[in-house]
Amino acid sequence: MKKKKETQNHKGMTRREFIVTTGAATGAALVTASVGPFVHTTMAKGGTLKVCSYGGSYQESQRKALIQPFADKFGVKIIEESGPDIAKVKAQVDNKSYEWDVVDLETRHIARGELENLLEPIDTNVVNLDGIDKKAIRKAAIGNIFWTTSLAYNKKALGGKKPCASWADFWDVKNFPGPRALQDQAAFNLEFALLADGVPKNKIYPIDVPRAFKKMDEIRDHIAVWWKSGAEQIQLLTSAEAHYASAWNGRVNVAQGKGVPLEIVWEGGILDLDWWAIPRGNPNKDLAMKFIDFAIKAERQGEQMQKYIAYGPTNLGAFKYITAERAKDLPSYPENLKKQFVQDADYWGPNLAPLTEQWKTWIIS
Amino acid sequence: MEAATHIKPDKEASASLWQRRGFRQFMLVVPALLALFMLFVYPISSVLLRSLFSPDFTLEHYLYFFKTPLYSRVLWITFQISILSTLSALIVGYPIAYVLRRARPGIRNFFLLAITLSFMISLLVRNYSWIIVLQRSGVINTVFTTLGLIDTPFKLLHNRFSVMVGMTHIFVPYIVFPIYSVMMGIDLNLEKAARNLGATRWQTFWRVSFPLSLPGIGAGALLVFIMALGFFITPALLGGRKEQMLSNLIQIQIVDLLNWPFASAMSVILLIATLIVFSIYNRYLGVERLWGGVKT
Repeated sequence: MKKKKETQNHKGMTRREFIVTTGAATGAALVTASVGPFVHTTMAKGGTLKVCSYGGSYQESQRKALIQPFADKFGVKIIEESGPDIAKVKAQVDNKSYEWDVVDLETRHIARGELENLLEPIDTNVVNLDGIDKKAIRKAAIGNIFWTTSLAYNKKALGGKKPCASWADFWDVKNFPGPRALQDQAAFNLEFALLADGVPKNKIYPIDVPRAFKKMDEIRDHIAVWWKSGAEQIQLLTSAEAHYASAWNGRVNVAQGKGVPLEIVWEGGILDLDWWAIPRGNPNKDLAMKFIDFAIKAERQGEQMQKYIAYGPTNLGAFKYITAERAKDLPSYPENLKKQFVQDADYWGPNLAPLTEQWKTWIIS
Repeated sequence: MEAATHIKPDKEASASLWQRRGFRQFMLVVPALLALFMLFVYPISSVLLRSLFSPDFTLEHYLYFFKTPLYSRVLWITFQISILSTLSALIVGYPIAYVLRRARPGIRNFFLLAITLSFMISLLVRNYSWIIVLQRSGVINTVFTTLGLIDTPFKLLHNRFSVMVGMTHIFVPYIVFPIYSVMMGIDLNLEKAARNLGATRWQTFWRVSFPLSLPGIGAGALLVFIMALGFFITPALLGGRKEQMLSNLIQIQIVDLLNWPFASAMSVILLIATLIVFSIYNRYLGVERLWGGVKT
């Protein structure tokens, strides 16, 4: 869970709303009900398409740059929903009852969905992949943004002290004092631990699990807060409850825009993607493919990242439509890109379950 | 004509059935039974079946739960947090109910309304309010540091203490109402009689008022304890690393790992734990008292 998009938690609210309802496993209905379908009123001569994404300013950026232009151009009526996850995709595929034709999902959901054969393979005759970053192409999904989980800090709270410049500094509590926060999950943290322990970026995977946990032991009692929802990271940093925290670049960017003195350290950041995917067996998949093709065009992504949200385009041509100044804030800006690495979804797919168990065992002991 | 004669006896039969009082009463509860079946019996049964068949009968998910130390330890933490927050809500809620019972009607109604209103404030808002109060730069620490009473702020947030504060805040109304309604049924003249017979205030309370209010305590505590077992959001937001609830692990199994059979087994285990508590309550206090009836 991770990242970005500032209002919904992973999109925040969604996650927390889900949390509230989980025990009863009625999360799906409540989450969607609470957000409500956003129905575009374009004439529907080109059919109807149901799109689900993570809500908040992220979905708003998609609405303005991708969804509404698609609806206008092809005369398609679009029904928007919010709060996707792979469990809900599985329920739809199992019951052959499709609430979503196109769904925005994070990598761990995509990896799981491909393992369990829940997603429609991408039809490359319809979806034009020219210019798309290789890292953003999978069998059953096409990346639509890059986002980063990295170290962020509150400049004002440090009071002029030298800030951490890497994860090794984050682990160095003597020379870089101050309360710290990390997310309560194995993914990202184990990679950060290895970076702090001196493992080069290109040697992280497969993760040396004993070494990573050993390094985590060093920092455990210095972590003031283990955050769980996307809203928390910014709240913690803003209130200086944590001077340093792992955080999602999109949310940091939004807070910066509101005047909060936050900084992001690109060094040691982990890039991840959000993906467009289609629930397997969906009868509306042709229109869904057409939408994906439209949504990953350079011009569309360029407008989205320039004007509405600070994520990285997956279509490398999109930088033509983005100013140099804006590009510096984006995770896939070349200068930022070389300080980071992409999370290996194929490592985490089969390892997520055992490492989650090991993580939870570690964190309560 | 022929058809009509066939129908006629049926009509009479249904008419006489309709005239029976028992049948009409039964019809009144049919909608509730249907809802109960669709929203409770059916889902619970499918959870149970999913935990036992995948697709052949297997107990592996249950065995795995008890074989892996993580899950029994988190189940134990879940029980600890539930017991502590129930006790804490009782300690805060009982005096409120006690005072309300004896307050003038105007004041009593005002406070009852205030307690009811707290139901209408979102759980998240209440949890985040506590974050603001308890955090390092929060209200309490600011006051103490400004007064020069402490140098380093108290660590009030993200530990067992802050979870107790947040959960108590949410549970107090659920404790107050059952105790209050039981207390309303107690004749205050009994206390006067005890005092008149020479009992001190404490003796009157411990030997008359308190025992009579026990059914309310039992009902409120059971309600809150069962709610606490499935609680999730408050431990997640206000807790530290050790405040992990079983429902948190169930959610991970459902959403992230798609291991629905194991998630179902965990849910069934939590349900069985709840039923055990419920049956202990029923054994000693009688479940009728939950809704103010008398144990028969």
